[in-house]
Amino acid sequence: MRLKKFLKGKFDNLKMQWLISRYMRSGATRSIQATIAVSFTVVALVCMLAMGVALYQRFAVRSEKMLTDSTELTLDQSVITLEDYLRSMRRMSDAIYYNVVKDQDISKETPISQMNLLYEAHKDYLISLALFSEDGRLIAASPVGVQKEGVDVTDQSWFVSALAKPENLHFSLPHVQNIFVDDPTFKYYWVTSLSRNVELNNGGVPEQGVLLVDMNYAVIEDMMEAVNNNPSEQYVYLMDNSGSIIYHPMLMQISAGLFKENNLDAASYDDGSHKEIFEGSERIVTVDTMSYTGWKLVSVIPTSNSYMGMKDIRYFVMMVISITLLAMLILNRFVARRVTRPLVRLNDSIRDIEMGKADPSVYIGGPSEVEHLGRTLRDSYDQINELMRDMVASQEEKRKAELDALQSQINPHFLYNTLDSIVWMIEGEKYNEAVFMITQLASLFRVSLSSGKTIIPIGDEIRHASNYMNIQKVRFKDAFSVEFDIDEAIKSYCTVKLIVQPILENAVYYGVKDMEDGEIVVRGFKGDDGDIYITVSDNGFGMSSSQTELLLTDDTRVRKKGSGVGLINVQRRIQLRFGQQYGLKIESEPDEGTTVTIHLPAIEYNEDNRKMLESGKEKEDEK
Amino acid sequence: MKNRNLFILVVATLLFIIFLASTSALILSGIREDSPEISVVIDDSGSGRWTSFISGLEQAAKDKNIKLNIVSTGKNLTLSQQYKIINEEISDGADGIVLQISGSRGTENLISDISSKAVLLLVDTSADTDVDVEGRSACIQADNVELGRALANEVRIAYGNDLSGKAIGIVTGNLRQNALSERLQGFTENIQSSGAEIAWSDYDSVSMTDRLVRRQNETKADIIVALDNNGLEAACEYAQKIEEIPTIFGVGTSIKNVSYLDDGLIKSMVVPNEYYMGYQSVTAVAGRLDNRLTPMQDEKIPFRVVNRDNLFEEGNQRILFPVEH
Repeated sequence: MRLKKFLKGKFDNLKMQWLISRYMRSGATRSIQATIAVSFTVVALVCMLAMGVALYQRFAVRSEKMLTDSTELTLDQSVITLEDYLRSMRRMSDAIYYNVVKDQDISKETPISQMNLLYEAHKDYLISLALFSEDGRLIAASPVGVQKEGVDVTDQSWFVSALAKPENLHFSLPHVQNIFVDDPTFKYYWVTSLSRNVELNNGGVPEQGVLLVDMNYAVIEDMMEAVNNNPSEQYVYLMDNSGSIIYHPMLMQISAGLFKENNLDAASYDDGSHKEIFEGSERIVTVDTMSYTGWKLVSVIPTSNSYMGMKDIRYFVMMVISITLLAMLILNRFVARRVTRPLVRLNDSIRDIEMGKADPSVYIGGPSEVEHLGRTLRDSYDQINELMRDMVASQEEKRKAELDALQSQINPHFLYNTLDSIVWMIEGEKYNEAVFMITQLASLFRVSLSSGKTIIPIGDEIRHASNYMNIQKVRFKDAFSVEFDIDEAIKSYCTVKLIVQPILENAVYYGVKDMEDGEIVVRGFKGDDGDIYITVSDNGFGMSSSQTELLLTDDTRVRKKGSGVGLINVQRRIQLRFGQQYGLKIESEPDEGTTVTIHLPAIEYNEDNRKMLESGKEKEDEK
Repeated sequence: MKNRNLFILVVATLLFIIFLASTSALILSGIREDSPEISVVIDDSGSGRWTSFISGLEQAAKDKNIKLNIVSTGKNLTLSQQYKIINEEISDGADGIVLQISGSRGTENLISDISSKAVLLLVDTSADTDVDVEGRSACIQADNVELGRALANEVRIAYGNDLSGKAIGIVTGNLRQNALSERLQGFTENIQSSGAEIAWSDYDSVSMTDRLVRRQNETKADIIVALDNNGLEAACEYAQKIEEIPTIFGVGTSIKNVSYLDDGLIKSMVVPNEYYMGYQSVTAVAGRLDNRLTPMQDEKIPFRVVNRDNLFEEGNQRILFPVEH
């Protein structure tokens, strides 16, 4: 049994742990506020229930005790009243017997006058007094009555029991008196007969007889009704020691089969309170036995009625539970909100940071733990910001360096080739051509340098391209023709410097260099969309589409000819300054020629725009 | 978050509603409702014939917390008089009516009218009614055909089942009541084969004793059978006046008839359990008043056959002899 209890306890513990861990797991995404509110509510509910059950138990036990105590008290008082009444009847019987009958010779005189006197003194409680001989003959009666014809009292139970046990006084069950004729009023009396065996002196001859005191049953009934006169479901009934009912408030219903009573079982109960289940309902039965008669006074209290003493208790319980839960709900929510407010505010700060709010302020306050969290978070956030700024700056520097590197890639190749051509011209004593070349080279470098600027007007860029092409034409002995058709209007717009020259270089080396009537056309205009377009077309050998694709994607190719600066560099420089939507577009057909289109935004060249573009701001804004 | 707030709001509202409802229920339950009122309309309400019935009514009224009003009536009320009394009772606030109807024929409209205004329960005798699917009225009475048969059995037993040459006079009671006509039917059916002949069959609600003298002078009956309490009393009163007493059997409930039985005037008496009838009639009306959807149902009450030998038996004493205070 103990082991079973222990195992059950263990099992319950494990079950509880499992439930808690399950709750915690499921509550992982819950807010702290909800968790606190739920926990508080659960704890408060458990405490309330435990208190409620304990109080109810205590209250029930106490109220049951009080009820049984008060019932026992009432029963005691009723027993005393009833015993007084029965005792007075016994005394009267004694008085008739010892003071009247015993001394009288009934052959000479009947004790009628003395009986009348006693009857008159007690007639509120009596129906009749009668003295019978052993053979059932009426010797005397008060009030004077005529015995019914055909009635043999010797058959009646009170007579039989008086003779059977001559030493005792006998109280019968209530019955209708069936001795005297009372024709004119058609009256029948309910009586409880007190009978005893008496010794009669019949002319000196001792005889047995029976003295009958018929007590008015209505007196007992009135006494009992007074006890039962209350609005509760509690009632008291009276029975003899064998369980036969003497009085019951629902005796008629019992006779008619409308009600049942557990009197036969109750007869075996000892004095005191007992719990029993009868007809499916639990009741408290209190028994008190009367002295001499052995009659039992039984009080019955249905427990459904007794505990609280009021039917409205369920409404009361509902009221208390609902108001407590309501108060708990509001209070717990309030407390949980107060406790979690610093955390919620800290959480809001974090959300602001997540949302990318400009210059978010981190909440620092609340309890020391939360304040510490806030401070740590703010420091971390500041550090991250610092790191970010550093990172951006270093990236920008890197980008600039890359640009510079890209630009510097042009110069050595070209210079080497051009100087080589000039040397060749001087050796061939073509001084005028050498002077032209040097002049063009000087102009080219002027544009190339542009005082260190990377953004220049398109006009300068075209001049640079023109200088370059003039040099190349001399180098290649006018093997091809070049035509510049530039809209004057676009010359004042911004461009990244040295972007046309590499395209021309490619057109020369890969397009028209080895052709007899090679032709390169450079056109510049403003498109319908307002952007600037500069196209470099040649009628050279052209390329396949796969080659065309590689021109702008493959950075690893080693150039065999030209300055070594590929179109991919030009593309990257344009996009780094102006954004991904700008750059180069290459259209080529094998044996037809190639057209490279430079796409630039139309940004008026002035000092502000230049600085802005050089600092890369426009690109960042676009991002 | 929104859902959670909504949930808490709903729970709080529900709890508040429960609190309000339970508080108002607690307050309202303190205010005692008026007890329902039931009026009882029976013929000659002061007659000793009703003692047991009224005792049952009163006990049930006490148990069910009913205000009971037994209307004081005289003898031989007509249907229209009863109808008038009932309407007065209903206008005085009666919620239910227990009625011993004075005539069972042509009562459809009357019953329909009363049962639409109050809960109606017929006692002692049934009556003609319209189809009543809702169970707005019902009848509690003895199985009168069976009761008539039982009475005939008593006559047969008393004469060793040989009644040839015996003349029976029947005090039928008010044959306009179904109960009496059914008793007569049960009695005549059962007595037919016994060889007895019916000398006469009569009833006079006003002076039955005189009528009996006249009837006996015309055709003398050896046996008088009374099918109701008043007829039985009249037969006994008649018997007390004459020398050659006929054997009397009958249906009775009054202490007077019990006394006649005790004196030996009545040979055997059938006693319907009218305490049960009274108790059940108030219980049925109270049940209907408590729940109007519960249809009322007819019920049969038991009866006992009592003679001089078993008159004072324990089982009979409670039914036959009321306790007088």
